[in-house]
Amino acid sequence: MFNKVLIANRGEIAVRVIRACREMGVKSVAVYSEVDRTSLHVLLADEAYPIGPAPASESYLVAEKIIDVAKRSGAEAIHPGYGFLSENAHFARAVRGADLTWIGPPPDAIATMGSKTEARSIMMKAGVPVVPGTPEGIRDLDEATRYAEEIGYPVLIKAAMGGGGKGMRVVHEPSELKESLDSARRESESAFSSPIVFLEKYLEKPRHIEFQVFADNHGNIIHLGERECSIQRRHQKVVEEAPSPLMTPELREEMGRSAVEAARACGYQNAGTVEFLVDQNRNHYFLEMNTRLQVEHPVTEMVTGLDLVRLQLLIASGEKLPYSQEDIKLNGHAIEMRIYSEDSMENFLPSTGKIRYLKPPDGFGIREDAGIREGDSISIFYDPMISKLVAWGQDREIAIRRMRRALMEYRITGVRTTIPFGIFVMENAAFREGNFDTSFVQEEFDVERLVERSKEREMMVALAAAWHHKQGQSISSNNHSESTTQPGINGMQSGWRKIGRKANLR
Amino acid sequence: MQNKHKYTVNVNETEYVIQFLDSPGEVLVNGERVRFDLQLETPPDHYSLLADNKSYLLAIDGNDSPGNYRIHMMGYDYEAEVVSAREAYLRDFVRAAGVGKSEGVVKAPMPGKIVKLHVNEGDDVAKNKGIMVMEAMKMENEIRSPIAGKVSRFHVQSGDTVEKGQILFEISSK
Repeated sequence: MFNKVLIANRGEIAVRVIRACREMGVKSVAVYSEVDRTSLHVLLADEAYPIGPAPASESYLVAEKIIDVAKRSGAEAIHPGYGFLSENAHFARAVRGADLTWIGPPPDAIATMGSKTEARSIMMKAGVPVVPGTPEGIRDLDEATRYAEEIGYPVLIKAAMGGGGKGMRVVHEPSELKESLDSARRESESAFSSPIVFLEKYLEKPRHIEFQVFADNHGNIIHLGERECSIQRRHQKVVEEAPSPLMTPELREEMGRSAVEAARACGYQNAGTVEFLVDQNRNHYFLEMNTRLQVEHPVTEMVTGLDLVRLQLLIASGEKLPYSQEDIKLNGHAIEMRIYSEDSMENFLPSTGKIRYLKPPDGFGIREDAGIREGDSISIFYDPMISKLVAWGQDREIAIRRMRRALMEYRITGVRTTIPFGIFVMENAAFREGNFDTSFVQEEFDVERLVERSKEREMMVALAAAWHHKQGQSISSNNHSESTTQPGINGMQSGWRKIGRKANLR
Repeated sequence: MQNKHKYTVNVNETEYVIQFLDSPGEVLVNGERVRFDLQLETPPDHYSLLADNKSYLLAIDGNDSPGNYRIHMMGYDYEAEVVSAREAYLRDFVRAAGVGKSEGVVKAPMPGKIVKLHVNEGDDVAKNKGIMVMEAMKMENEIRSPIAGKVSRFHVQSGDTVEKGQILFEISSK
């Protein structure tokens, strides 16, 4: 095992890795940008080194600086977390080139899977089912039009180098193709420095189910079951759970086999996630492979009882997988809710500002992985995720009730969050029945219904507001203007919006 | 009844009339008597409310303008506008004087870059019509018209980088 590991990340995932290191007796090295000097990962690590200004492009994304710190600090390995450089094959190669261990898959596997078009062709060869689409990037509108006709509308435009929903557009009819293509290209260029996009058949109401795989350096590959990630907004996951309510032992075995095959086909090592779309007839299609630890890995940890970061470190240090497929048993049900600083009531508009007060819930079956503390600011420089709240229960119903309870107890002020949305999901009939797909947010979520749900306590809110007002603004609530959620997406005074909302209530 | 302890509170678009009574711990909510005990639980603005012995925990999370409060209560977000009887009187007076015509400015909800304008100055637009595309946090966001009206003036053009709160365009209703 390593003596010292550098964590090339920040926020909750850096904290997560640092914790595993400490539990394993491994020293941890944090890196931080100028605005992160007092961030949680710096406070918890054994050592910490500055790596430059706030913009990630000048700090967390600068490979040379990070490798330099690793050498100076005497770290033997680098854990990239997720995001930033985690799926950058060049960086992985540079790490290995500097005689450091890369805690992740071989650089070639990252490169292969990083190109969605290449990944598709390898999967097709390996006999893993894929969604019908263009074999490679599309050159121009003419070609796009031709392919779209061939595949049949609706089609999905995707960035070849993409992820996280960026550079992605659904096109329902030919007239929308040009505008969507242009805009997907612009977004892809800006997010991934590559304007290459490709087309795929857009599956109506698919479920998004992914399998956690682990491969050691000795040819052993296992899967740790699936995660259901169908609840997404802007193609980004917000609620994840394990196991999937759709799953049967037979389907799990079938998809698990596909996942292991996918990993084998690209010479995979360490932790990876194979994402599938599952259509209404329970056919599964390979979507992509994420060559890193996933944000939502805790739900797998809660139902398998395994520490995935610990497993990553074991495998990277050359040990054999300590478990075979038969050893993996799923126990109970876990749900993760991502708490983003986004306004549930305003179409998930990002909300920046200072966390004035933070008291996460606790109690039996509740886990919170947070990378921020009270007093920290949610800045525009980094991801707006505040924390991941995870509820475990011996069955799905209990996990849902526990999550709802925890969300009600969650106390945070200074920014608007996805907590009200989370409560909506936990109370939603389709979700509770396990009968939902990736269109959940568009089809089920309605701010008016959220307002309706919150009605029973409205009278008490009125009473408290009047009292607070009566006490005079002397008690100061005028000073919190750092919090910057706008009254509406269009920034109009709320009166404008009120008119709209009232009309809708009728 | 004396009006000085009477407030009209609009919470998420529903109006409540709150009248604090002379006897401490008693209030009329929409005319109904409620016994209440409101304690500052974590200063300056986290309260514990016991109303007829029912327990509520809430936080007043700043205000956008005087009398407008953002409130969290047990997982839900609320917007409350409090107007005292006296303020209501003044407001009616101002309205009668014809101030407050329906037009407004639309500001950038977050820092970002203007990628594209969909309409021209002087165009009539429907409510919710996409006016421009703004890129922020590497995502493209549509900035829509909050009302039906005429885009009277653009303050930005395509390619501009904008700060949060910067005026994007002006719109007037017909």
